[in-house]
Amino acid sequence: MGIRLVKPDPANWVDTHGDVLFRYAVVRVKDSAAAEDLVQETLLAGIGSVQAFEQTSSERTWLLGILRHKIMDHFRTVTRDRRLWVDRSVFEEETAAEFDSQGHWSATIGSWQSPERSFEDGEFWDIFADCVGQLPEALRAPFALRELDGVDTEELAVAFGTTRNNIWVMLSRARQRLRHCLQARWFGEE
Amino acid sequence: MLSCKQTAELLSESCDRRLSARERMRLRMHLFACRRCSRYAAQLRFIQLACSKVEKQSAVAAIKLTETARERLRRALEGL
Repeated sequence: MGIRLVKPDPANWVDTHGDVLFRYAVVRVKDSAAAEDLVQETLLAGIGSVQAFEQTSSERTWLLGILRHKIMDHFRTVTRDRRLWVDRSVFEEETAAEFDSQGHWSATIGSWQSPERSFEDGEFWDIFADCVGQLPEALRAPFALRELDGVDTEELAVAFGTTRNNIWVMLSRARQRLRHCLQARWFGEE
Repeated sequence: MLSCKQTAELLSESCDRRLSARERMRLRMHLFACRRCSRYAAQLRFIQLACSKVEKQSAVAAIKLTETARERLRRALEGL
């Protein structure tokens, strides 16, 4: 039994991997122009280091690994710009509204009956995408990386230039907002 | 005793870090007695599950580069 090593073929990378890389990037960074730039950087970086490509993983897995790093760098840069961040006190007010002075829920929590059946409905997914899309970037970005890629708190804190505690708060806020959005737009008012 | 507010925060954090044995026990005790927080916990799990499936959805799976973007990329890679 022999192993046929396939030589990397950068000339075909746009056609072979372009869509997959773009999709991966745009789901995480949201902006398509930024996603295209990241794909370009990834392919260029891949060409630059194709000699070092060790064939232990597929070409696509290897390129996705490069893209993943580029995406983390992207968030590090954007965050430094400070445009990504919203005043934290906004989120604190939000939490305050959810609970009364004793720390009890101020509103009732609905019961979602057989929620997994929603997965079969295209309309659910449209609403879900909408709800995630509506999150401010400061919440959406770490949430996307956490849920899609399992990026840990430490790495997120570095990528977003903040503390682990703030990351936990941001993720909690993202989930709270999503829950509200899904309740209001899909599961029906509680 | 945990409040619902503390419970909600801890439930979310349990998705992102390991809770201590003490935290887990306090959480369990509160959830046992609190229907709202139990529902909230289930809803968080649902959201997590949905996120794990989102990239396989047809709308997402259909995302492609525009022909313009493809061309641009090809040109950027040419002559290297």
